[in-house]
Amino acid sequence: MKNAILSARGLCKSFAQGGGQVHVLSQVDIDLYEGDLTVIMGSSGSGKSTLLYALSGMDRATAGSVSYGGNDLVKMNERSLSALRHTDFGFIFQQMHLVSNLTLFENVAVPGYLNKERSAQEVRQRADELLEKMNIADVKTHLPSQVSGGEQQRCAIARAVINDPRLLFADEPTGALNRRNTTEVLDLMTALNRQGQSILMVTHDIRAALRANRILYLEDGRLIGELTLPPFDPAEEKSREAQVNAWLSSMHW
Amino acid sequence: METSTLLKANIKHKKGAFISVMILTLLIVTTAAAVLGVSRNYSSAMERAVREADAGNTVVLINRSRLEDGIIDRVRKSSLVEKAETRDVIVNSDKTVYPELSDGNSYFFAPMISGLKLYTPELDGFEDSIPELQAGEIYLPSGLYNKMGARVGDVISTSFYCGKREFTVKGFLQDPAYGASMIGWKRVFISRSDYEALERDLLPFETENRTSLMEEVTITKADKTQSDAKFQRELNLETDIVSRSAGSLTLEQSKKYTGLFMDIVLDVVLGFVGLLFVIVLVIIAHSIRTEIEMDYVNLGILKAQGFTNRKITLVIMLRYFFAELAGVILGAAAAIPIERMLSGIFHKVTGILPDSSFAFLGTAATVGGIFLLSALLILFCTRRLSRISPVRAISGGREEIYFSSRFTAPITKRGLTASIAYRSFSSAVGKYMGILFITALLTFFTVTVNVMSGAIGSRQALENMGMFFGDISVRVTKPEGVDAIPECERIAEKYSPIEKKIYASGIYFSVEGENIMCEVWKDPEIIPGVLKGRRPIYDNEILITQSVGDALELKMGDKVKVSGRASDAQYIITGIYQTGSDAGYCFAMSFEGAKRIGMKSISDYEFVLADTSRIDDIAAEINESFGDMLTATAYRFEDNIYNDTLMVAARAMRVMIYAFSGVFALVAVIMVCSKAFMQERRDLGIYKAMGFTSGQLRRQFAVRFLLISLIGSIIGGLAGGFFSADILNLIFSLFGITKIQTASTPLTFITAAAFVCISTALFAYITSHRIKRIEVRELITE
Repeated sequence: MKNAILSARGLCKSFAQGGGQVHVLSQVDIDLYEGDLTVIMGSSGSGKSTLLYALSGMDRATAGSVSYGGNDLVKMNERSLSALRHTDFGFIFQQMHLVSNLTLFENVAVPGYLNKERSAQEVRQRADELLEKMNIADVKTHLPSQVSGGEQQRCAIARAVINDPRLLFADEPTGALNRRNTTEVLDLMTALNRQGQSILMVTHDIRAALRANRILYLEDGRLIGELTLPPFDPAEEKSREAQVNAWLSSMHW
Repeated sequence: METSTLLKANIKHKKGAFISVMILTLLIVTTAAAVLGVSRNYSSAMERAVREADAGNTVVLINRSRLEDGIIDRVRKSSLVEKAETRDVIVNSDKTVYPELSDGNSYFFAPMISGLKLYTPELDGFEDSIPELQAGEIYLPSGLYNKMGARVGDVISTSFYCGKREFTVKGFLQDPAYGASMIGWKRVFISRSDYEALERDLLPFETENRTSLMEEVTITKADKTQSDAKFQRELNLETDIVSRSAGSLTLEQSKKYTGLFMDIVLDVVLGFVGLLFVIVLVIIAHSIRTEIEMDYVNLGILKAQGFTNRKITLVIMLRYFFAELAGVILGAAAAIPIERMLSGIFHKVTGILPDSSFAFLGTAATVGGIFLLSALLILFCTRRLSRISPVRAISGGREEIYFSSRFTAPITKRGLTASIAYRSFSSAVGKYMGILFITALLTFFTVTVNVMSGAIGSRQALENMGMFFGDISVRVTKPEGVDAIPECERIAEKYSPIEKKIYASGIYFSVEGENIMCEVWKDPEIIPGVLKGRRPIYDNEILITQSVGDALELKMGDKVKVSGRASDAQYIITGIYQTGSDAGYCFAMSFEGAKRIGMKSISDYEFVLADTSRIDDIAAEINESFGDMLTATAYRFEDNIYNDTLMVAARAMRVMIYAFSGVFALVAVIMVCSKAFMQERRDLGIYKAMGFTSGQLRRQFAVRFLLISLIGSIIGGLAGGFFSADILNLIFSLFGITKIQTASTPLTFITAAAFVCISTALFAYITSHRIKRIEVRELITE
């Protein structure tokens, strides 16, 4: 029996548009489990990213609840949510979103500095380890504009995990990358998951979805399907791809 | 059509810049129009009053007993003179008391003359006619309404040599010749019967040293193009009238003294307005620069659609012109009540009821200058438009706004907010140059007013500038009072040791034909304010001020003829000094030197005491012992200096400059902060995603602007340290102080810097409240 670390019930999100309401999410129920690499897939405009941000407390749901550690994220104030962001949650964005005037090292270290339980020395050491692990230690003093998109995204991953979050949220992490960089980033995320990192990833990239042990399908703001897979094994990538493709076809993807 | 559409859209979407430029222009136009209006309305009213009063170009006061036969005829016959009119007056110095205060003025009592105007009781207009004075009534110049607080119906007590007389104030007159509160001569008018009785009573008391019965000679020059000073000099060379006089005052001098206070305040305010306009230009330049940077894509699209650089420039220029025009209209409207308010304040000092018309020409010229300089600046700043490539803009978006800085500092856990704030600044210094420059300018100006206030408020600094202040002031009112001075010293010494004895008198002597105030010192070794050369040691030596040197083309080493009431003598100029007396138009010599041209005694004796706690007792004891021949006054520098006209003006200017600095810091910060906020919206979202709270990010904004203003304040403070004295010398030269003695302390700079820094940081913190509204959701790419 897996332990659910985050649960959402009756999650709704709507936006005002042209005098009316657009319902992006409708009554979504979801549980995220410890150690899983969960992927949410769906067509464009299905509400994948909206769901990710509602689950992570980055955006507030219109209705429903998001339960984490006994607290409802929907009702948390800004201060508590901020604390959650630098202690329990990590984020990876499609467009990397590194702070342009900080070096790669600083981009990684800054959220670490917010963590009161670690000394500055420990943060610096941890940032160096992560940059080494992401294979970007040689460009750590560069500004984001001075490195490639792949290096930026690896830096974003290092930043997301600097505080050892319980849950890592990734919004289309390979969406802005070329094929080679995509593989590198996915390998890193897979490695993190193998080390026990829980990940929720939104993607429309089948190669990214193959790394998941659980795939959820979202359509018009509703979860309509779920596929459970064994842990990713590169040797079985072809058969896994066929299985996922077949499932996605059944979802009319 | 397309230009107007774009212009409308620009104004609608860039309201912040529009409103900021409008407010700043409003402030500038309001101040400039009000100042120009005050100056113009005063000048026109003064000219009219002079014409109506037929004031003449110089007034010479001659003792009737010494009036040589034929001197007035010689003046009248001179080709230099258009006309000369004489009038009997009774001069009474230092003894007019209201209610019990000796104000140090010389009062000329005379029967009423024509040409003057009678104020309404509230001094807000003129009466249609001037009622004839009855016995016991007096008309006063309007300067006394404010200076002495006299009101219609009050009783003025006046002690003459023949005894005390009392008059009831019947009204106040506008006297352009010497009605201002800044001038020490005052014409007062009494009934003919009172005058004749007083003249009769005084006649037996006329002595060689003290005289009350004088002839006031009002002379009008024939050549209107000649300066009054030159006219008076040439007339004296021809007729000797000034050399033989007890005093003279040209119309130009009178106008200068009358408008002195107003001129200084208005000059400082105009200077400050000029500085504010520089700040507006900096803000416009900064705004255009960031606008081009942020609208890089949109501008590229416009260019791709066929908009030329010229057309885009026109849109930008028109937008700022509209903002400035709105500011001009509102500013001109606001200037009207402010001009009236300022005129009302200065009216109390000048005694001249100003006109109340709007200074259209001056304001139009100012507005023209604002538009012209703005247009040139906008043309200069929009050169960057030509560098925008439509293809690059559409495909690549805007240019990277950050760069690697050499002045970078590491981001640290301790002081995380400060280190990120510094990074934001150091990686985009150019973006903050505007606010840096503005804070430097504001600090420079606030330091300068602080230095000014310090100089005026410090006893030591004022003494070094040639002004002196005793704790006990003894003024001899009868010749035998001089013999009582040693006894006065002994009385003072019973209470406290005397640290310094300042025994000096101010008396008008003629230097090369020009009547100039001479400061006669018993001990010339203590003459303050010597700038060049040395003090007069021998009895044939004098010091002159720079303004006397300039006017008479004299320098150190020159020999000059000085004429007293009785005789002439030659003196050598041993140095240049400065003094606050007579707006700095003075010279100084020793009492031994003054004896050569007939001076008999010194009338003013000041004691500087070691212990000032019992000065009231000292003054009371001296007055009790010798009150019939001298008057002793206790003087508290701190109590009195803050009521001094100069100090009041300095304080008013300080308040105004601080207030304006605050407003400008606010508007500048709002503009720069808003632009930075828009540019960094994405980074702020990232910081929020990392776990930074809105409060932390707002503090980071405030710290960043604090750092910038701190650097600006250091630059402005240093500039203030180096240059404020020069600027103040320029302003104070109107008062005769050519070299200001600054009394700066670290607080002078710290107060100014703290004000600018705290305002900037506070406004940045307030302005950044919009960070609260930034949602991390903005980082989501759907």
